[in-house]
Parts: sequence; structure tokens; C-alpha cells
Amino acid sequence: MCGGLLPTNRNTFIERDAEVAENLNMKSVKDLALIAISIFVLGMIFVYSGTYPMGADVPHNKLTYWLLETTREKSIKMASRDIDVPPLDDPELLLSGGADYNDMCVTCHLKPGKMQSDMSIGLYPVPPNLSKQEDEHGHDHAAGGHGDPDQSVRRQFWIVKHGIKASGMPAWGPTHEDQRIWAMVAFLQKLPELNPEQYQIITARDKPNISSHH
Amino acid sequence: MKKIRTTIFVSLAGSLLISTSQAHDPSEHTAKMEKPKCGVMKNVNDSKVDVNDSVMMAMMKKCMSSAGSGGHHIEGAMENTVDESSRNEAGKDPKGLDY
Repeated sequence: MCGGLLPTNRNTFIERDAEVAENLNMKSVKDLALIAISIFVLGMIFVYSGTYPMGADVPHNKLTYWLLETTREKSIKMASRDIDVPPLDDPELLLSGGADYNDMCVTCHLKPGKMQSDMSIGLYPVPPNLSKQEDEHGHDHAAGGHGDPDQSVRRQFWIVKHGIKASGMPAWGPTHEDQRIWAMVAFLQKLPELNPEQYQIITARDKPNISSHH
Repeated sequence: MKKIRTTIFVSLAGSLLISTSQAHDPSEHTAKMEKPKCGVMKNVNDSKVDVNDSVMMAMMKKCMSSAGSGGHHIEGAMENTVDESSRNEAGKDPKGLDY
């Protein structure tokens, strides 16, 4: 009895199994598509609802902060990895970069002896206090080159040159040549070691002729 | 709505233009001119200046180029650093200073 049923029925079962599996696959794909569309629609509803707090005095929630921070650091690391770092030991670089830092950056990024300003308090994300060592900034640079001095230097150069979207950090590249930006980076490397007196001497701009790069 | 967008766009463009010109205009920097306070350099021991210390070298250069404020003292220190370079090249200290 069984032997008579097997050949035809087995084929039928196999075909049915294949059909069921195909149906299940199709259903899974449809379900996934439905979930994705639902998430997109909900996201759009959220965006257009205007309920997300956009004021700089209300911090991001942890998920948003993590997403933005991680995206930023990964992007900068990728974009800056092939930058060649020139020698940065020349005292002239410190003098040029120091004066520029004092003119263009100190309001937000502070200096030895100055722990806060209106800008450092009011901006969000909070600009790092560059007169402190990297691990004291209060920023998570884990993805950005912590522990690798060269990558840290490349990162600083890239940020000064290109700026960072929606952070208050402008791109200085369009108006300043690379050499001048490297001078600022050279100064940034020494800044955490400076005391207020050293900072004043190095950054004081006592001559109107600021740079040959203009 | 369109007016608001136009206003925002024009304001942003205007502020960008202004900040660009501020960064690029040397005269903007001259308004912040100040003399380096080189008085603290008088306490520097000329003979113990490390030529590899770029911070110290930068401070000495700045104070040398600045009028007054202990220029002679700093010039002496700079001479020592030149001597140190010579000493390193010659393998001996021409002044017999203890570095």
C-alpha cells in the first residue's frame, strides 16, 4: 500500500513544501517591507510633528547623541586617515598658530586660566576646552584616534579645515591655507601644557602684519 | 512661509559673508594687538634653556622681537642656544656651561 503511494505523493509533498517555503519567504519579505515602511512613516510623522526639542539648552537624548557622535567620529577618522602630518616643532609655527588661535578660537575653546565663556556655556554640543588634555575634554574620542598621536593631529587638522556640521565649528579651510592651519594644529598640540603667562606671550599679536598667507 | 525662508537664507548668507571677511581681514586682527608680557622671562636661567623646547624657543623669539622687556637677557639666552647647537656639532661645549 505504502509502496504504491510513495513516488507520486513524495513529489507532491516536495512541491507543496517548496510552495509553502516560498510563501513563507514572500511573507517574510512583505513583513519586513511593511515594518520598514511603518518605521519610515512614523519617522516622518515625528519629524513633521515638530516635537523634537531643537533648543541648544536641551541636550539630545542618549540615543541621538550616540548616533551623532559616532557618525561624526567615524566620518572624521575616515576622511582624515590619509593626511600627511608635517613636522610641527618649529617655534614659528607656535607663534603664528597661537596668535590665530587667540583671535579665532579662544572664545569657544578657552585658554589656560579661563574655564568657561558665554559661548562655551551656550553652545551645544559643548565645544571642547582645548587648554586641557584630550582625555579631559569631556568628549568621547574613542572612535577618533585616542591613543594614536598622529591620528589625533590629523583629526585636529581636518576639523579646523573642514569644520563640523551643525556644531558651531566653522570650516577655516576656505579662507586659510593649509600651512596656516597646520600652525594652529602645532599650537593646539602644545596648548594643554601652557600656563597663562606662556599663553599670553606666545599668542600676543604685537604686529599688524599677521601672516604672509593672506 | 516663503518670506520667512528667504529672510533666513539672506541672514545666514550675510552672517557667513561677515564672518569670512572678519577671519580674512588683517585689520580685524590689529584691533586685538597687545604686547607680550615678557617680564616672566627674566626668571629664565639662560644656561638651562632646552633648545628642543619649542614653547620656550617660541617665547624667546617673541620677546626678542618685541621692544623692551628684557631683550638683552633674552638675547643672551638665544646666544646660548646657538652655542649649544655648535657644541652639539663640535662635540664639546665652547663656553664650558653646564647644560
